[in-house]
Amino acid sequence: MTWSLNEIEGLSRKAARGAGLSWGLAEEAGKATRWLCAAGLPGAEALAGLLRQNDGADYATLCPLEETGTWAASGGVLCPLISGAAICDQAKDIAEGKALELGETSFPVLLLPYVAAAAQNSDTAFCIDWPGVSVTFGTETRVTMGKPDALERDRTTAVRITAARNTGGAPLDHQTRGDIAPEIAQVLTEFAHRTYAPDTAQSRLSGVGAGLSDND
Amino acid sequence: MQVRDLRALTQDIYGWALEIDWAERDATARVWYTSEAKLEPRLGERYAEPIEPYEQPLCPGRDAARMYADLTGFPDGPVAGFLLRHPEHRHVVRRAQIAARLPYAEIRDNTIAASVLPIDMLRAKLSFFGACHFDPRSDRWLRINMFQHAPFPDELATGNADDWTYPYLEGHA
Repeated sequence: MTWSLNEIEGLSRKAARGAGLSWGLAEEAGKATRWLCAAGLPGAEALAGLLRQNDGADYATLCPLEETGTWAASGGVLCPLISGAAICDQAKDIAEGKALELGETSFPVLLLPYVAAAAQNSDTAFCIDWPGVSVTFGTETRVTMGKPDALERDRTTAVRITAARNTGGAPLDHQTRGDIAPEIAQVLTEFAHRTYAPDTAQSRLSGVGAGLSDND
Repeated sequence: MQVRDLRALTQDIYGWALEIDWAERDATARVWYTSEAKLEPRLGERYAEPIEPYEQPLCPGRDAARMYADLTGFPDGPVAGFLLRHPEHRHVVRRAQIAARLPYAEIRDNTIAASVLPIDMLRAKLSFFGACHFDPRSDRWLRINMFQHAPFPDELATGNADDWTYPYLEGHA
């Protein structure tokens, strides 16, 4: 079934919140998933996989620490949503030629929207690579695939983001709706459902909602 | 943006919230949440119902005051470093940065006070959206009608398109 991009953003935001991310990071997750679906990439699949993998994980274990010049997570594997938001804030350094290296990272495709935003904000072409794929964000976004499944990987060993220009590759198409498989939508809907409060007797008595009279 | 800039921005936009005593129960008596039964937005009682875990981020004043408490004493540097350490404040930083450019983007009052009435905020929204007919069934009613009595496009050139938002007077032609 296809979804409007607005629906995808809303569902993804609620799902990320339901999985335990802060509201601000959940907002980023919604925007990132929307960006990927609009580019025809498997954003909803990656988000569903990431939320399932990190369900209940402590934020501190997923957050990037820089001790050796390379970002790494104390829990071993970086969360692309947390790292992505931080990448945007490093855009100036990257644009000035300082490459950013990330260690082991989950669902690296979720980094793409953040790097795109960082490139746009600094008005510079950025390139992101991990084994099997290279994506360049310039006047258009171009993808060079070394391995066919590189964008669907649930984990990669290393990611590099530079201002280097890579003009090859196929440009991405722009989609106006996103195609999400029912089983993926189901996963996101279940996470989103955690943000809904069960009815209470008090809420009914205090006059919230339309109650039984819902006919205007 | 630097931490000191965010601190100044918070004082500028949320100064009113920094003066509220958030430890007072009346200051945080209500919770905005989404109901499982109807997926509709609702306002509940924080201290009478088990709904706080479902709270929506619709209390910018309290959240800005919480952020300000953590900003105080945080070493200066990029806001990115503050947010890596405090991801729970990210949504307020976004609101503050938006309100810095677009002053009407923010609600500058306590949206979770015991005295809050959604009607007050709806009245403000009415003026933005052109909604007019408003028939609340309770003081928590959130439903409005939009564009009642508004002219259709083909009527705009010939009719009076200025006063349609006002209710018709009884007995007036």
